[in-house]
Amino acid sequence: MNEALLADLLRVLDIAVVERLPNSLYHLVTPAPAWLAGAFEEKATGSQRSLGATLPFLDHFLDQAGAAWNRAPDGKAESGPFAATIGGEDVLLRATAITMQARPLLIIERLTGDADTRPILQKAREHLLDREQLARQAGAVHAPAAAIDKAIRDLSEFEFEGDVAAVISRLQQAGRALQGAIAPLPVPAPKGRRTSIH
Amino acid sequence: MIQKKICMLGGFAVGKTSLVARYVSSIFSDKYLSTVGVKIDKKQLNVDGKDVTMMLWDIYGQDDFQTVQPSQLRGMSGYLLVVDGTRRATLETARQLQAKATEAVGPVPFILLLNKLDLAAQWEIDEPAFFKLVEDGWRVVRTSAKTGEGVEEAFELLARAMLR
Repeated sequence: MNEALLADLLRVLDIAVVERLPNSLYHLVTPAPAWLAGAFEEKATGSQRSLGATLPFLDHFLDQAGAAWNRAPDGKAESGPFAATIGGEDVLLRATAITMQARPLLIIERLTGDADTRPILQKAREHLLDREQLARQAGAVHAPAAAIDKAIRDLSEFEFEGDVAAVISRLQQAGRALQGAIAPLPVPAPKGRRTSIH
Repeated sequence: MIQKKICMLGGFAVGKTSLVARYVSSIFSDKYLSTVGVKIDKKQLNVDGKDVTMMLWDIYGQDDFQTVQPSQLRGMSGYLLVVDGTRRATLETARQLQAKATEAVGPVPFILLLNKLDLAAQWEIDEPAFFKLVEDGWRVVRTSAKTGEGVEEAFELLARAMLR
């Protein structure tokens, strides 16, 4: 594979490779994908560029990266996802530090498609919030339902006849149905709706 | 120029990102957008004659899907522990994160933000709970990222505590 083809491939894959230079500067090893080009501040020294202003997370990651570079050639460190706003667009990125041909490199990937977990986590957390809301609503139902159940049981202690007995019987059936319906709902916290701290 | 790293810690959907957006850009959106990974914003301020650049690390909310890593806390000078006043479970998450932060970086200054003050009628964390936190020695500020109430005060309070 020739160099030009490799560079094109990396650009299409939203991957940039930069070499770490002294003084918080970087040298682009491969052409920058369009989304990253806006992140570089060109310096007077030609190919040396700064990323700290738009990607301050990288400065923090350099500690871990430095440890990986010191373990060359096998050292490798991954940053985990980090977000940045480049050219007004929010992008999710990940950096990997490796050493190749004795050069300390950072591979900066833009996480898109399946690698961008934001939509999945968004849905999951929205479901969790819905469940919490359901638990709060269930908490509001459980207490009065238990009171109704107790009242029906208290009524059952007495002897009734005729229409009243029929009404009590219907109440008992409805009470059992209510208890069955709310049984699967989340049980409220023992302290009730508001909390105190001990 | 003094530079300080400050982390926003708390459960998910407590308003960490909204608090940063309110403080840095004076904006608020009602739409909940889950944070993945870390996002860093900067804010410059003058505290008692000292120019400070606050590097605000908005770290994803801790839950079953994502756990805050000690490496992300390294180097922080202080942190804001955010609780959603309408969800009492987020206070327990905050306590866990406070313990984790202390273990990771030692006893650095922090402030607990009881957020979503604009929804005070729906709060599950009541006055006795609030005063218990204060009695425990925690600095607590009630905030609303939506209205901005308490937000600037909280960040500046933390900045002062870090510079002391």
